[in-house]
Amino acid sequence: MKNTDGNNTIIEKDYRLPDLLVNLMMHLNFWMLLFIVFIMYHALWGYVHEGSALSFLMNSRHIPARPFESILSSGLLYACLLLLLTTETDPGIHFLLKLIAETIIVIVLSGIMSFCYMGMFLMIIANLIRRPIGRWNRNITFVLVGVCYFLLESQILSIWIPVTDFSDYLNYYGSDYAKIFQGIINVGRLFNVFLFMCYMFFIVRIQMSENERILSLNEQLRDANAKLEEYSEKSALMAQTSERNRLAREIHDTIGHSLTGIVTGIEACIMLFDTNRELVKEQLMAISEVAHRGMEDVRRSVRALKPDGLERMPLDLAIEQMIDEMRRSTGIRFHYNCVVDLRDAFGEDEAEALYRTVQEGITNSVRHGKPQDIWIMINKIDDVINIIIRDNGCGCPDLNKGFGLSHMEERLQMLDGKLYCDGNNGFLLRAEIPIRWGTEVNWNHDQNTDS
Amino acid sequence: MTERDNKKIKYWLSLFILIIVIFLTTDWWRSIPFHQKNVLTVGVFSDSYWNQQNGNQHKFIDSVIEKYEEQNPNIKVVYEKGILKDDYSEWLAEQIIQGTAPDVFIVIPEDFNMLRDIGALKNLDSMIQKDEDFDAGAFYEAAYSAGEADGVRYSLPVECAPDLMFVNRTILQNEGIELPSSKWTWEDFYDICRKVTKDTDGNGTIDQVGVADYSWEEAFASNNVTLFNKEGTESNFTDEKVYNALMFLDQLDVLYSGSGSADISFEHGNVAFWPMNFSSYRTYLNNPVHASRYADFDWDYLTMPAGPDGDNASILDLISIAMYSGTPMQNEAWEFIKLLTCDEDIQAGIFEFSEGISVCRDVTEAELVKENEMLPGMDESPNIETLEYTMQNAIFTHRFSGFNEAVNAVDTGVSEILKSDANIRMEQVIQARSINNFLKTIHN
Repeated sequence: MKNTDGNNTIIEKDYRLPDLLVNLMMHLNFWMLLFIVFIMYHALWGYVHEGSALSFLMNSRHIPARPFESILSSGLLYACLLLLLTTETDPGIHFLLKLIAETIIVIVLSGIMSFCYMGMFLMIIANLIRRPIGRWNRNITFVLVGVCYFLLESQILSIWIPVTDFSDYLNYYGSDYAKIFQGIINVGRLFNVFLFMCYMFFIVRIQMSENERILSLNEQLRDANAKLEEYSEKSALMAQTSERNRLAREIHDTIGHSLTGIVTGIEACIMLFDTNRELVKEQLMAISEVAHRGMEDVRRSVRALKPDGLERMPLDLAIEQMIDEMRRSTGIRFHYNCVVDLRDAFGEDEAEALYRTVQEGITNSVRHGKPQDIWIMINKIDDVINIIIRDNGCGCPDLNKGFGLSHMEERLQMLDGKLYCDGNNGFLLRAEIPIRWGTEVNWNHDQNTDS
Repeated sequence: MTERDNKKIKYWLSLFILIIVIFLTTDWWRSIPFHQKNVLTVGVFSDSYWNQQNGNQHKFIDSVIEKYEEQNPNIKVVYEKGILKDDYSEWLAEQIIQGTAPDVFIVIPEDFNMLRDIGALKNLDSMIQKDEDFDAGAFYEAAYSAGEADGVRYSLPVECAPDLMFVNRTILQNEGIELPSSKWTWEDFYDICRKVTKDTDGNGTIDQVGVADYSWEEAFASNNVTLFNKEGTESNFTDEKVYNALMFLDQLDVLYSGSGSADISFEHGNVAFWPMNFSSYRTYLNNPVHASRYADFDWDYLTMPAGPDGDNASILDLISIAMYSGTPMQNEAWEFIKLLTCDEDIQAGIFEFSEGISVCRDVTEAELVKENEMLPGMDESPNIETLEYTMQNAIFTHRFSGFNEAVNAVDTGVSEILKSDANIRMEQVIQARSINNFLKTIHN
């Protein structure tokens, strides 16, 4: 974050130079306008006082604009142009309207100056380049303004827009002064173009440096990404190792311990078998106890190894939480409808089967069908629990039971349950699980003590 | 939030400025009555167009303004006094340049083309079409055609005056020659001139001549010569009609070439024919000092003699009135133009205050009858028919800028030809070249 902030301030600083150039252009154009309008109206004044107004009209063959009004309105129009140029607009119709207004003002101003100076168009173009606008807008506007500028600069428009030729005004002054004035105007025009070129140069440079910055940022990003991948691989490896260690420890602590006890106990039994059967019996009792304890330990270990929600909370909450997690991680809409009280009603294996079926079914749908909605319904018909999982994904017309489904089927068969699948119109999965109602509550008790 | 407000303020400010600019540069709001009189400006010159001293021009325009303001009480008409006819074109140009051009102004024929070129003249066609009272047929055709260019009407005639041939009836009676009819030709003209040119007192010098001051302009007009093209960039000086006219002038020259003599003049009663503008004739009529000079002989006016290729055509001179193209008060200006050109009372005022004649046929005829009744020195039968016939055949030449200089150049050329004894056709070609060269210099 700090880095990008720093870059932004650098960019702000960089735009100062182009802005300065635009300001210079604005000043220059103002003085050019003033100079040309002054020359024109001084010449008119001179013609009138010299008494050669008639010959001026005969040469120019056009009525010049009224002096006072055009001087005043050129000043006002220029002020208006500056206001518009310095106002930022949103891209779109406002921008286009503003641009059209600017263009018209510049054409009128150029007309007042007898089209002898068209530098103000460059201000509009400079302004256009500076403002961020839509691509379509930019193309259209460039064409528009460009066409206007070229038409005026090439003096083609003067065929249709009749104005008094500027040379008619200059004729009032002797040829020397006329040349000097024309020279000043030419210098102004060239200087204006020069400023515009400098402006373009700096703008292009800024844009290039910005591109470079983006490129280098991309590179940094790629490096970081690679590091991240490496890190994630490492951490997965580490997790695997630690899990393996944990497993080994558990196995060693529980099964190993018990088995060792059992093995030594049995060896003692074998030796005692012929001599002291009473002792053997005693010993076997002890072994049995060890085996029982070992079994309990194994059971506890397995429970501890399982990361599932099922072990940590009741079945109903576990299913809800799983669905919630899936919803959050996939963005699919889940419609969960359960009409059976799931809490504390099933044996451990039954609850496990129920939970796994829902989990596997959802996973299956999400993985293969890419649906937008998944409907999950759990109900009870007689002693049988029905689980229906339906989605509106692409389905699977040629159903071929993979590992997940066959594993699920096996699990259900162990409980005398059945599994039906239909891959047409999305995917439909229906599982029937017969339940031994009210026969086992131990598991719940165990779980409570464990947790 | 503040930035957004700022933006809004900027937009409103620029809109406000634009509205002010539109207000400044357009004039439409001037036609809204602001509880005060709207001002209609008129451009006129104060002396006579016909180069006569009368001091009456302001009286004429004042009478027009008085009547106009009576009819339109919410409008005040103003004009600048004291502009002479010779300065008028320059004055008008200055007003146009300074943006203070009058809404309505008099146009002298030489300025017409220039004013039309620069777009200072308003196209009057739509207003004429809309106005049901306006009757173009009331005008003399030749006068009315003067304000038209390329089928578009820019001006209406105010007053006009044709050239006429004045004739000393006493000389003709003494020589036993009948007064020629209105449709007389160059041959008749030449015959009479030949007969009257003689030495009456027998002292060896000719003291009675046929014609004085009959120039190429009159000859060309009555031989249907169109001397310049429309833009005035080229002359038709080598034309056959020009040749015939030059031949005729040469013949007249042979009869009597001593026109420089001070004793020979129409006023002295020893010249049979004298072309004169009708305005001069009216000046003589109205001025008792002049009129007394002609007391010794009877005189009358005739049409111009017709050349072999033309009619009894005479040159018509006129002034017209036009509307400035940038006027915000079109309707008011049109009313003023209509009043000046079509109103019978106003047009009758021309006979009182000026030397031209009205451009309305009916007004001119009625006023001439009145004038003839008042002046006993003239022949009792009024020559209204002659004037009517003259006006029918009158020619108005559209004048480009520099027309007067071009006429001077032709004048020089013609006198060169008449002076030299060389072949006229050869001389025509030579002079045509120099005239065309001169025209080129005018237009560059």
